[in-house]
Amino acid sequence: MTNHRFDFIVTLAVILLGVLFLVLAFQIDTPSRLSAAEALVGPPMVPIIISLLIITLGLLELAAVFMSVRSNETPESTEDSEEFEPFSRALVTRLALTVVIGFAYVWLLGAVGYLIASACALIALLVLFGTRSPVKILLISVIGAALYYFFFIRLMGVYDPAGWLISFS
Amino acid sequence: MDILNGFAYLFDNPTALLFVFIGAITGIVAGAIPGLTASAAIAMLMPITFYLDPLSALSFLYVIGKSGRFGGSIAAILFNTPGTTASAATMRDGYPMTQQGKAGKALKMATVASVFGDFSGDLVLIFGAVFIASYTRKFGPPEYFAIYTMAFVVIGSVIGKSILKGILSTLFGIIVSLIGLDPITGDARMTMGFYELSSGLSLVPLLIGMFVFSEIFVQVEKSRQNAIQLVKIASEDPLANRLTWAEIKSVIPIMIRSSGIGALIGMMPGLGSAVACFAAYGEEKRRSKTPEKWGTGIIEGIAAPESSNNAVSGPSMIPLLTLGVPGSTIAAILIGVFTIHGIQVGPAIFSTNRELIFALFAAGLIGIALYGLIGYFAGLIVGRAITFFPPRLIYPFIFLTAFVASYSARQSIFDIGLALVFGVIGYLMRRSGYSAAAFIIAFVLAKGAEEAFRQSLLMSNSGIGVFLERPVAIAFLIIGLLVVVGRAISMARSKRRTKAGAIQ
Repeated sequence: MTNHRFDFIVTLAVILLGVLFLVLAFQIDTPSRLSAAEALVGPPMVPIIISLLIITLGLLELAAVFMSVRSNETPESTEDSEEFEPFSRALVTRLALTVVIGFAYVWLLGAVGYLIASACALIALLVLFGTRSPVKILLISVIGAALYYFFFIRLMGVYDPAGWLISFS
Repeated sequence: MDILNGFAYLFDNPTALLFVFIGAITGIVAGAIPGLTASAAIAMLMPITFYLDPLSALSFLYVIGKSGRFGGSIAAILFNTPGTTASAATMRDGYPMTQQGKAGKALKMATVASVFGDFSGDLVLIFGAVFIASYTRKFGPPEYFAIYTMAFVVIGSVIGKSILKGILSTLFGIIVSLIGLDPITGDARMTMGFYELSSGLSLVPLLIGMFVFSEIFVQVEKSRQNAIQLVKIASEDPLANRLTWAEIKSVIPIMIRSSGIGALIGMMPGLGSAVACFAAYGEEKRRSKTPEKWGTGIIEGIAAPESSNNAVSGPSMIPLLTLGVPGSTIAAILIGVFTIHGIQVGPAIFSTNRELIFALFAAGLIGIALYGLIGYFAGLIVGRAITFFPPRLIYPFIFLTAFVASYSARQSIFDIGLALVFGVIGYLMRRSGYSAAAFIIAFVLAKGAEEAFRQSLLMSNSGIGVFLERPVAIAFLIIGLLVVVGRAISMARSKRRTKAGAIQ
């Protein structure tokens, strides 16, 4: 995906977000207990203003993207610019996997509790980040999850939800 | 003197002292790991501080911020990768020095310059904050709204490559913070029927999403690359890794000027260490009699950016403590910690919590001394230790830590999902030139800005004209406007120069 296409999609998403927030803002009720003056500066006012600003600036940014496409400009890099790999199927797959691992971890936390969920997440993440040795993966995951369980759940007292499948707490 | 009372108050609290020490080490390590910034470390460790007393909590995170800025120079010098954006300029001369076998000298120079800059900045903070607070106590809602507006506009237009994207980032932060209960009437807004959103979005999962999970996604991109390589740094010349007093003396004028630049930049909301390090590097190179040597591996090229980026730390607390407006992302996070411990930031803090604030300043000074000692004598050891743990091992554990940190803030699984969602948003924002820092600072400030705006309109008969009736409010609005216009002009000039260069 080219930079310009990505910019276009993101800017469109920004405008759509602005529209979504504008719709939500118009749904905010002004309580009847407020006086006329208070109702004028009531709960919906600032959300409406900000949403309109997002849409307006989003449209300006969209125009800027179109103009840079027409003039064939490449985005200017600065000394502190980050370098990113161009989007490819492999990259999108790795990113999507990371998100899936995250949400799977959330689901597992509810199902089997912190200890097992953390061990499973570590296994998946170590593989994703490129660790290949199965022995290393297993050892690091088990020891790592146990250490985290001890520190956060036992020492710090973070609540370990009772898993609906298996529960240790 | 207040600062002496601050030391006494701090030394009366062994837990706080312990956390200053832990903070110094944590910040150095976090800053030295490429990709993991002090802000990300603070975001992950913030929930731990909920269990501590206010002084320990604030000291811990404040010192992590300071030592993290220094820690970034270790990665910049040894691995040619800035550990934090504040160290990007240090790389230019730091890494060449490592390649010449002078890594030890480079690290020692970075340590001395960081300590010098940080102490200078803290002196500005200690003496400047109280003085400024005596004036800002007289401000009312119109003045505060003007200050918030100036902060939004300055942060939005200065951070990043595009003014429009910067301001859109701040607007996004504002609108997200408005989800939840109206601050004046208490009625629910934009919750979309989700009960979990009725009390608004929590700062901790947003921080962790924007700074930690987004960085993890960036590291997923790089996960196929090799581990961090440390070039052979041993040298047969014993002087190669020593920093002599003559060398330090030669860069004192550079450190003084660069600290001044850093302190000024630190006081302006949103500019931060990354701007300071390049501003100082550029200025000192311009003044130098041998500018061609800059970038080849000279200690001056480390002294300038390091003293400047660390001099930002103290002064960035001035707008936070005197106006309630954070001057940096770290200061924005500290507002959250102050709030959780029931402390209202703003000029009144010097009346209500004077001892605590000066104890915090004292903690900062001790933290500087600690990271200075660690950096000077053990900087190379820290660097070598990091190479034992390649990113493919570190980042799964960072993921785990971020996960439990976002959960533990409110013991809420919803917050973990929120952090993941904002991690994706933060990653896409970074890729497309939007600013996570602007988003977070705006998120923190928005509720106060809305209250000030609505209170100003309610208390005045002239409606929106109330902001034009107050000279201080007008002054802040004009400053904001001037910054945007100045930035737009500077960007237009830079674009024209680039085009002219391309044609030639």
